[in-house]
Amino acid sequence: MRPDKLTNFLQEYKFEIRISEQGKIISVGDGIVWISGLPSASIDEILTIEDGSVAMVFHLTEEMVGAVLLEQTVKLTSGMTVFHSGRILSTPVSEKLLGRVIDPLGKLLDSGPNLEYENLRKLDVLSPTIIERDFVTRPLYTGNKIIDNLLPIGKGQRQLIIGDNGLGKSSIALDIILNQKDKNIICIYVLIGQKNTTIVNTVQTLQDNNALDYTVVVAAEATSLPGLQYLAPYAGCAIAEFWMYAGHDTLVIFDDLTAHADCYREMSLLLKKPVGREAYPADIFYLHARLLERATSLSAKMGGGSMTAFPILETKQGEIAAYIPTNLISITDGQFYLDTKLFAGGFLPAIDVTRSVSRIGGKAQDIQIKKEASRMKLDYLQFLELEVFTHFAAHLDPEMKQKIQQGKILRELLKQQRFSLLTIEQQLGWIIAYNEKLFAEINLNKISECLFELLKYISANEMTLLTARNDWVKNLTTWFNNWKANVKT
Amino acid sequence: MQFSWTSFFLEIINFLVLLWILKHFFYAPVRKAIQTRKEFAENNLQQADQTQKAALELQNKYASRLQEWEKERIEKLSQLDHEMQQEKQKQLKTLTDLLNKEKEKFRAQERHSIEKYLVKKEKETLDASLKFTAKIFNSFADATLEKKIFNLLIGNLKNLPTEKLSILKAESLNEILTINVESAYPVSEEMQNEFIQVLQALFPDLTYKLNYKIESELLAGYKIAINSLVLLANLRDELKFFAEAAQNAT
Repeated sequence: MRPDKLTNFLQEYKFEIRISEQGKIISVGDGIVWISGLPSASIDEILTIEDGSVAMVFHLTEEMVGAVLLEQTVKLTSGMTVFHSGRILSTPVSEKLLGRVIDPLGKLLDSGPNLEYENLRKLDVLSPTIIERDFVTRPLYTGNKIIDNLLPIGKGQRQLIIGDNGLGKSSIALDIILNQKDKNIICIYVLIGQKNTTIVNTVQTLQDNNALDYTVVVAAEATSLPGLQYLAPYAGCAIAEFWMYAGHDTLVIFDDLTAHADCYREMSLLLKKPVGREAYPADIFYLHARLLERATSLSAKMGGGSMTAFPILETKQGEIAAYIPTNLISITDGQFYLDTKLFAGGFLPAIDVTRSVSRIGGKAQDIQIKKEASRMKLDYLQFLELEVFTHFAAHLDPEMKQKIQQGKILRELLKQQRFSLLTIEQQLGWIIAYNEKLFAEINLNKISECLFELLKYISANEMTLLTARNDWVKNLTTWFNNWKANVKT
Repeated sequence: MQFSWTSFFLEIINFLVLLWILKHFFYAPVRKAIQTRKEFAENNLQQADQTQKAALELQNKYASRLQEWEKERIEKLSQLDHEMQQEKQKQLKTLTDLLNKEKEKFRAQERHSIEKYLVKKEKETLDASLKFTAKIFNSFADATLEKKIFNLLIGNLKNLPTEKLSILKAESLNEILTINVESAYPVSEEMQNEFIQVLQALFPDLTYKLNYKIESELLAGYKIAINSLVLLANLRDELKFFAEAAQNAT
């Protein structure tokens, strides 16, 4: 409480005429309204219309105010009166949001009980200052073999998931959320401009895998007002910040920012804002930069919470040098690039290791995993280059042949189906087995079967990250020998 | 038996031949063998001497080496001790830093929880006070109170500060001024005339189109819309104004 402010207000208060403003709608359509009047309207201010509709100021001209509709009733028409609401754009936040599906303004979209919100949080706030941040050092495990070993993620990192339509970007995002079960990480899945069926399927998947208990779904479907689609990622961010500033670790998926950029372009063009490259408004970079800069790891003084962001971006024909992709690649701390050829070739998830990077990398990786996987990425990349020679039937020396064989085994090991997530012990186990060349004598077409059994064995075993490497090797060697013997019989 | 000089000389010769044979075939080889053995023994003794010397040398060498190693061992041990102490200090510092960080995190989270709780309580208190005030206004708002507000309104209009006057005058660019007056209770003719007089003083040479409407939600007081401006002097909007000010203060 700031009693001095309130006390001063009461001391200085006297009843007098207050001059307010009202405007009149000149035109309404396509989710935007033009209003005359309201001379002191400011950008992002909430306006209420006499029929109950709500709009947000988006553009100011000399004579008119351009606003995007956030709520629209059927009675909305031109000539209606518009008032300042006195409210700042905010969304309700509460612990009770876990497991619920809401729109960016907090309206419940599922059939659960109504909620009474205690707090409101501003949608658009400044990102934490440098002093308030901490280094990204704590690992965030996704359960994916390629990511956790070759492209490790830390809590507080921004990692872009980029690729063409239908390559499995949302699948990777869902798998990341499913792997956060029992890890004390609050997840927020923001769906922007998606079909209703996609939203329903996503919620159903989360529910079936008991992930909805620690997830909030913020949805602005394709048929919703452009204003809501524009606000959806900021609402997701604000909800995540509610937990982050309380000291929790959070994870936000923005699915996807292409639709967000398109929606922003649409609104800006309708409201006649000056256009820039590819008809996007000039501040399209700022649109995403100010969103993603809010994802960070906070210092101990600020509670030590974190927000890890996974924005998803759709490319056209694999073009990552386009306008929005290059913007997002420069904003984020790395990207998972999904390749069409890998997808068509049955390599799932279709993450192209050569064009993917995690700029935090090993700094946020467990020491044991880092030691075992340190050379893996380099070896895999070397294998991909060497594999080209096999197509020419060139004569290869034994060392190269061995490298290629190891690379092929690794490629088989890195394949992973949806929802088959690995614990960190399982990750360590298979990497040690690979480094000890225990897979070397197994046929390539038997690798996946062997790995499946191996992972079952590791999860039933009591070995942990703290178990000595020699014990790991001993147990794994025994298991492999037994497995090979069983396979032969 | 007679002494025979021939036999004597032959015996001497025989003896000499025997001596020669002994010397040549017995004493020489034996002497040679003895000499060989003597030499062999001397060689062995010499070798043994040399070996002993070498062994002594080696012994001294190894003894000095052992001494050096012992010295090195002691040095290394003390270095290891020192390094272990340093590592221990480093680990202890890391743990202490981690612990302090966790303590700081916990304190910050606690502070955040307390602040959240206080804000929640403030909000509840303000909401309750606003509801209470609204109930009181509902009970006591009547035409008499509205008349008092009317007098205040007229007084305020007559003594409007310059900046507010200029905002109002900016709206009077058209010759016909449409003014919509909402009130909680009917505005008497006397009050209407008084209002028009004030308007004439504020906006001379203009035609006024006054519309009156009853809006009971105002509780008591007036809401006067002049084009895009709205003059608020009523209990409902005053409560709203207080709620906004209180929210900004928290």
